[in-house]
Amino acid sequence: MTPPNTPGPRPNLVEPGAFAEAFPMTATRLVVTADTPAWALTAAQTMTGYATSVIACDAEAGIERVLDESETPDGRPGASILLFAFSRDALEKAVSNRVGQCVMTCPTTACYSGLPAGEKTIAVGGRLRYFGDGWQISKQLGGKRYWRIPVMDGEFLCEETFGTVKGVAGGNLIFLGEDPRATLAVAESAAAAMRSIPSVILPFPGGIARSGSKVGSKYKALRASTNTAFAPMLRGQVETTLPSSVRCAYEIVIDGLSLEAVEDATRAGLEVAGAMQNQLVAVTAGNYGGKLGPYHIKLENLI
Amino acid sequence: MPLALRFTSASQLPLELDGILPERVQALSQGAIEKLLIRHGNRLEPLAEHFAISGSIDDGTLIFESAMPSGHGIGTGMTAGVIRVVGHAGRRIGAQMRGGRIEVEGSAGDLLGQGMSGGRIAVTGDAGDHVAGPLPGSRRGMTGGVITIAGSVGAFAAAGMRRGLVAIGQSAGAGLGYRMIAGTLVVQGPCAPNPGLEMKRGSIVLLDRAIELAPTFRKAGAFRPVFLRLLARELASLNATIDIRAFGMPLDLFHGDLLTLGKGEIWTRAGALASETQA
Repeated sequence: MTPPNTPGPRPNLVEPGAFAEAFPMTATRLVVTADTPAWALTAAQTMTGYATSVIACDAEAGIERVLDESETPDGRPGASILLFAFSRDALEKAVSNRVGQCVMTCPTTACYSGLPAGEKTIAVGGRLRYFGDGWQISKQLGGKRYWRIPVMDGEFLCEETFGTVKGVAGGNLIFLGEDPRATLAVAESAAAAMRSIPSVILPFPGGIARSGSKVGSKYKALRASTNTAFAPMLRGQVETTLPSSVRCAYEIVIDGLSLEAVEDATRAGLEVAGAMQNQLVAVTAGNYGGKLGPYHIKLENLI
Repeated sequence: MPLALRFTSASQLPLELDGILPERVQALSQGAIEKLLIRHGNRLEPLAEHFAISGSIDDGTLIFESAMPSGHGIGTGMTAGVIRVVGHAGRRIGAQMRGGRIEVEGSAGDLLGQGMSGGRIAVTGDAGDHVAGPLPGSRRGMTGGVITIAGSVGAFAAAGMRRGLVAIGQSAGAGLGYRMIAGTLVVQGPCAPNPGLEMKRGSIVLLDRAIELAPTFRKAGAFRPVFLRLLARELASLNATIDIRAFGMPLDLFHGDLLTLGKGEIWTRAGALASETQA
């Protein structure tokens, strides 16, 4: 691996005119706590599983960051989680299903809203309370309503409603390289840097996607299929956007609570790419020709 | 700068101060405030006959600068702003209050927070009977808001309470939480025997070391649920005179009153139940 010693990105590192096309999604933040950091993380990891893309998942989700005792409502260790879905109804269903199956089932946990209630909220504890079979208890403290649901290790506490915001999903960066291992190393470093930005998640495994998709398919039942223009082994068979030396492309998808957060994360990824540019052919971003999403994040503007 | 009302009258007759509210006097000139009518005994008289009025209500704060044990109904129906009473005050402080804050730097009479549905009352001294109780003819007591009392309370505190939080820093008299419907009540000191009689739902936390419960409460065990952590934090943020260290260890949980719905809960320090200790 080449050490990151190059002072700035070379002029052609970022493909000219490249922009990520992002779109609005309804988002929420959850705070999950438990008696130990390990159980809090277990709950958070379980509830953010199978949540990479709304192409086939009910929501896009990820762990925003781990929280210490001073940052949580009940003074226990925790994790903050962001979830995104296409509508508030879809988000409410996804969040309550996931909290019900993955957090309530996890020993010692509790679940709180990580966003102010505001005008637009989703019911979570308010839906899950029925699991208490009539023995659930409502408790109003500090202007918030909580539900206490009896379970086998005591009770599961969940806030009744969670605040939502109009978030931004689909921000992305694509790293193009000759050597797959070196390209992945850049993507890993970039993902680590991007994860440190508040209010964003990278929903794909380890933050990195290798199966970027295009809209539609030759098969009518599929809404999306492999992004042939970025698949290096199809070079010569389909129209490609990859430079001739590229043998590998890795994509980092960014969902954030605001456009600024997504731009900040993109900038952090570009800085890593600039520092490790010897291992890359180019950096670009995925879009739909500007026809789908209202947010166009131009990479050149972020350097 | 707050609007200050200094009691200048020597009268011992009751003064009904309903209607002297920050949100009401905010729109009035000094002259109009002085002419506001209050009931003195059986007569309506201008406010200025009993109070020297100074300052302005610009910051939404109204101060009764002197003790008024015969001043009743302070903050009745209040919806916003702050009322501060420097000294003891009479009955019905914060009755039917819906918002805002009342601070009593002294003791309050009976019926504190009667029929209250929102806002916050803080009393540094004691309070009389029927704290957070129902309005005449109603079975529902306080339906929202927060009352903290640093001292002791009389009989029937939180009787019929439906929602909200009441924290009592010292002792409580008979009938504590009688017919409580819901809500949260915390008492630091001793309370008379049989708290929570006929309670349907709600949570009573009793932190004294010797509690006498009615036999219609059944023990579930010792627990430390997360909601008690939240309650401890809430009490700390309210500066309630409750020793929240007690929440750091498991508390005994009793369900009752089984004569009624039985979904109420009384939390006590482990081993605090008098009958268990004797056994």
